[in-house]
Amino acid sequence: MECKAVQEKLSLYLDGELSISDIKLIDEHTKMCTACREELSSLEETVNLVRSLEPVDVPPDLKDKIMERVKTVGDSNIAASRWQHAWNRWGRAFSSVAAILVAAVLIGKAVSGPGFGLKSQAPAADEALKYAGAKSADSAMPEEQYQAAPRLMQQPMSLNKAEAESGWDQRPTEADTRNLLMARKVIQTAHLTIQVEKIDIAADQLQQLVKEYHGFIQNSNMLRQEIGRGAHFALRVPSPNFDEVLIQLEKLGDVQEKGTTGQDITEEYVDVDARCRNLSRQEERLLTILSQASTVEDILKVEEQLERVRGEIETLTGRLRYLDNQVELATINVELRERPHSVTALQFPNSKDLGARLTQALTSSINLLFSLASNAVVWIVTALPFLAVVGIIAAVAGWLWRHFIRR
Amino acid sequence: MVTDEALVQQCRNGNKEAFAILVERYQDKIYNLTYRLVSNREDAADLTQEVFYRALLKLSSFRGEASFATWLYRIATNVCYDQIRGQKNRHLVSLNSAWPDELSPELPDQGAGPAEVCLKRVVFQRLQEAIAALPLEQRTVIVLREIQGLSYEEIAQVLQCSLGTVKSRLSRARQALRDKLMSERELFFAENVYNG
Ligand SMILES: [Zn+2]
Repeated sequence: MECKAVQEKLSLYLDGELSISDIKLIDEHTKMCTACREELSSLEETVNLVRSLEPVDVPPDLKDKIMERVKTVGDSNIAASRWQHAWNRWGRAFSSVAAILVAAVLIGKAVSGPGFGLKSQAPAADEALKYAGAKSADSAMPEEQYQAAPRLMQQPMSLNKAEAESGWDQRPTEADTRNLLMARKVIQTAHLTIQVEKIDIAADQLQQLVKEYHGFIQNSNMLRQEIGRGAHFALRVPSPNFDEVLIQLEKLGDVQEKGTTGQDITEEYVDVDARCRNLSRQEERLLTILSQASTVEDILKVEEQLERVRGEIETLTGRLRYLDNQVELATINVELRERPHSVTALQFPNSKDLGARLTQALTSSINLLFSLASNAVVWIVTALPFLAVVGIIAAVAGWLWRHFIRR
Repeated sequence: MVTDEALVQQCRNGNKEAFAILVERYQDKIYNLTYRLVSNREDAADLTQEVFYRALLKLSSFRGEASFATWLYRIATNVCYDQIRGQKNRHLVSLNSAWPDELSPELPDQGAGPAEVCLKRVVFQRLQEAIAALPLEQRTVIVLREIQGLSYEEIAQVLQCSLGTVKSRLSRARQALRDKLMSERELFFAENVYNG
């Protein structure tokens, strides 16, 4: 190694951040090269000197000053925790308001224009609901987008203000202290079987829905069953949107099966996290030892230990990442089944069915009769002028016949 | 001990006592960090208040990707940067006044002779000045690494830069600081000063 390359690595060398081979190279080089040896020792002295600086004492009244300064921060700023809270508090309120609006619109339409309205209004109602959903999903966005939210948040937050304030000045109770330890981590999963009219349309709607709620389809497959077509989807959606997505999914058709589970993994999480921290500390200690080890044999031994510790850390952090992922994204298994066609229903007619069909047949023949009669009336009315003309001609002809021909 | 994250959650539920615990835990570190960055005790006290104030304001955006400490350090460096960039001139003046009356905290407590104590005062004061004279980015990595004892990964999270950047910046900072100290070599590197 050249001196320049060596000197660039000395800082890392001091912190034990180099590979074992680099450490060996630098050790060998500094034994030979005076310039680099001096460079190393001057850097080391500098670092030691800075590290020997003693911490300055905090002014005794600093904490009081800080607490005084933060008094002005409104509860709404703090209590509005991450999107989870935002969702719980106002997303739900928003969507229930929307649901009421939708119901009102539907009822209004049903009253004002029976028979129509319902069908033509449905997409608009959907829009309203989706809008509500999209609004609350916004709050699930990262910081930047989140900044825009407070204006919307203030209203529902102020409802909770009294509650928040009352808790604000109380000393923590025992229960609070227990709660401190319990930022619960829960994995949410659900299973839904839905019967739909048209599988393709339902699948499209489902995809749209998942997208809207910032989720994704983990996998999907189409099934061909004897009674009709079906499809299976594994959906992943941000946990705060879990409930709302379920509600929306249920609108795709008739829900035949529904099940949800919440698996609390807090304990495992805390455990893995603690083991991970311990190992990290162990790693740091090993690095310190490594930086002080002088013989190649020692270095190799420490390096071996390090490798083992790092391997374990990697496994554990992998597990933590997996758990985080599972907690952050809820899983929903959806099975869509196409409704069996009416042909099957006709094969087993029951009396109710028959009665309905008879009524319908009777109605339609009466309708036909009416329409024929009305057509006849219309035809007659339409024909009246012609009949009148024909009548006059006939009368004239008769008169002429009697007067001239008979004579 | 209750974790920082649990305390944060408790703050969000409206428990101000929880925030007071966090203040207690971190005021030392934040005060020392700001002091080393701005070299002025009064400013450091004001900045520390500002850091906690901003932290509470932004608490809703703390997402637990990094540890609370790292997140707080990030706010602290930003607060200091705002202050330093906003008031460059003032600080140049305060650095040039070589003997501010705030040396007492650096006093070593062992029973050293008065001459030695005096010498140590000078060394620490000059050292602080040398750190303060480093470019802001270099000063920050030195303080975070040597004084706050953060790991490379933590520094990368605080400064929101890559690990490689941290490594090279720290290396350059140490060299620059060494060069500054070398100009007063007999003061800093005389054996009896920092070994005694
Ligand atoms: Zn060399």
